[in-house]
Amino acid sequence: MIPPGPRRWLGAFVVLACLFSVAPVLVIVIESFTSSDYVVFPPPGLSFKWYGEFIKRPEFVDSALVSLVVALCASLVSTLLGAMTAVALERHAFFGRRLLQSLFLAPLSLPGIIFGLALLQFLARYGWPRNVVTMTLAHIIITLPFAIRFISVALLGIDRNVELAAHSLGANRLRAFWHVTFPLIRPGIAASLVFAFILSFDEVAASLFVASPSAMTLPVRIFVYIDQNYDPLVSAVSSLLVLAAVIALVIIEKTVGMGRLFGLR
Amino acid sequence: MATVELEDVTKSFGDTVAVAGLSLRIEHGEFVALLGPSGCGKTTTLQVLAGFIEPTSGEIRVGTQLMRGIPPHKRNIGVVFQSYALFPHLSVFDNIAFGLRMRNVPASEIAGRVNRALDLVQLTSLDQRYPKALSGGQQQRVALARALVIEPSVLLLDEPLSNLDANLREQMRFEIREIQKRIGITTVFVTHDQSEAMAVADRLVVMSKGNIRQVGTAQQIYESPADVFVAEFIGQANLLKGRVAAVSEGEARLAIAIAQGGVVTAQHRGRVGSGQAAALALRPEDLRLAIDVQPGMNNLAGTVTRVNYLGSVINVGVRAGDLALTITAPRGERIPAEGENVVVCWPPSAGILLPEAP
Repeated sequence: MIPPGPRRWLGAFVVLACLFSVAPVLVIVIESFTSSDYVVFPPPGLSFKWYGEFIKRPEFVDSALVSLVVALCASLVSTLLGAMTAVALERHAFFGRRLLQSLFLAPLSLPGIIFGLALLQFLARYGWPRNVVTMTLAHIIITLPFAIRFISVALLGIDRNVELAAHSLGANRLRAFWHVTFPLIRPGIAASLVFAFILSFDEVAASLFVASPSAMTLPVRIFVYIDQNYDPLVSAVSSLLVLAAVIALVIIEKTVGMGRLFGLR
Repeated sequence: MATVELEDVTKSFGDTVAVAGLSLRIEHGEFVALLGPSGCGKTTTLQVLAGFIEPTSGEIRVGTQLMRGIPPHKRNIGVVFQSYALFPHLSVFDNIAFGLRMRNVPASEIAGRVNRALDLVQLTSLDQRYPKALSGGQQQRVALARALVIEPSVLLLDEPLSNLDANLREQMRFEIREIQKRIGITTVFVTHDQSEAMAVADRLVVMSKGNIRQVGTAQQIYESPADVFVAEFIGQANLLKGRVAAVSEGEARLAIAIAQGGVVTAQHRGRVGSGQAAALALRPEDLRLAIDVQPGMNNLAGTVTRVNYLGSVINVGVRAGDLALTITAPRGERIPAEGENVVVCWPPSAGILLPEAP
């Protein structure tokens, strides 16, 4: 146990570290409520007008919708595939299992830009269009490792004998999964859905390459906009992204608990 | 309710043979204990019976039906696991009702049967609780009720009492036996605790390294162990090892291998011949302590190394040459002092002469 003196210093250090990470985001959020026409901190007055401006711009609203659709589809498909993969990897020992596990986690080691570039070349080579579908595909690949991980962790928390007990009581594989395993990994599935959603919603690097006029996600739209303009509209849109992320994290904390997800509890 | 027959069952995992050619017949309504140290194959045998793993070779019969290829959910077998394996997301009632729901028993009937099962294990008021709010003993009873409510043909218990404290374990073992007798279900009980097995089982199956060493009632196994392993595993045994010097009539003279030499007489019961390496297994209560050499008895001189007063008996350790002997004397006998010179004696009729493993 840490004695009280050093502990106070450690506490102070932790608070400072958190502030340091969160401060830039806080600044942007506060800026978004400015009444001025330019980006300034601290804002001279408070107003919702830049949020109103966001709604008036069709290209931004459009991108928000694209982001929403892509994120929803990607998180659903990712979680479904992830669940199937996790169950197969955890419950069956087969030759090459370790190799497959590493293979599934491989996309994590790839920088988003490299992946985006590779995907672009792939699409061009086979004549596939760049649209919402291919954007969703890219996001599925990026979020899948997380889905697999979250559900694997949930599965590890279940006593293996519970499923055997279900079998001995007359449940075949499918019914045992539905009545016993699934309810027990539900928190993991919820966490996977939410995390994949937010990952996809905020994704920039790979999306930059796969984006097209018809399929431009919100982060990409902001990126393009900043090139030409810099006004509080960007702050407002960014704040909306931050809000979405915060809601996602709260849901994860309430269902699974962030600590447990990363093996800290 | 049915007979269970294992015919030459073998199970290997790669190069490791967990169960080697096991053959056993369990009668209808019998309570059989599979007993042995860790790794003897008893749990693997149980898992094969339940259908969780398929044997590498051999046949299993429940009643007249061959079990090969039949998955666990079609076997109508009740299993109680060491960790109880209760469904954490279901209440006690729903845990017990699970098997009935899987069999599509009508809801009206389910309530009645679950309540009867709860009565059987004396947990009637706890039906709405969840497993994490139950004590170990209560969880164990729910696991038992859950396995029995489906009226299986066989009940399998995998070290169900290992996770309970000593007092509860003793109480629960008799309760399980009571329930089993009342229902009359064929039961296989896996344990590493020999006193537990002796207390509740009709017959014990002593196993070691995938093989059956002996099958018999508690009395048969205690009084006439088949080999040195069984003699040492069940109860305590003093082993006098040596070579058979001479054989005559019913008696054999064993030259025991201790520093000062010595010859003891025992009954050979046709199990050892002259010149064979053998061991005489003597229970601590077979031996007596005396001041002088007793005529007509086997005698070994030694020194008392420890005295433990255990209430109902006195446990005495004696060193005779390089042999360490344990003697149990009943309460009321003279308690010797540590360091005292004594003579350990026993009649030639006591003990079992066993052939030593080559």
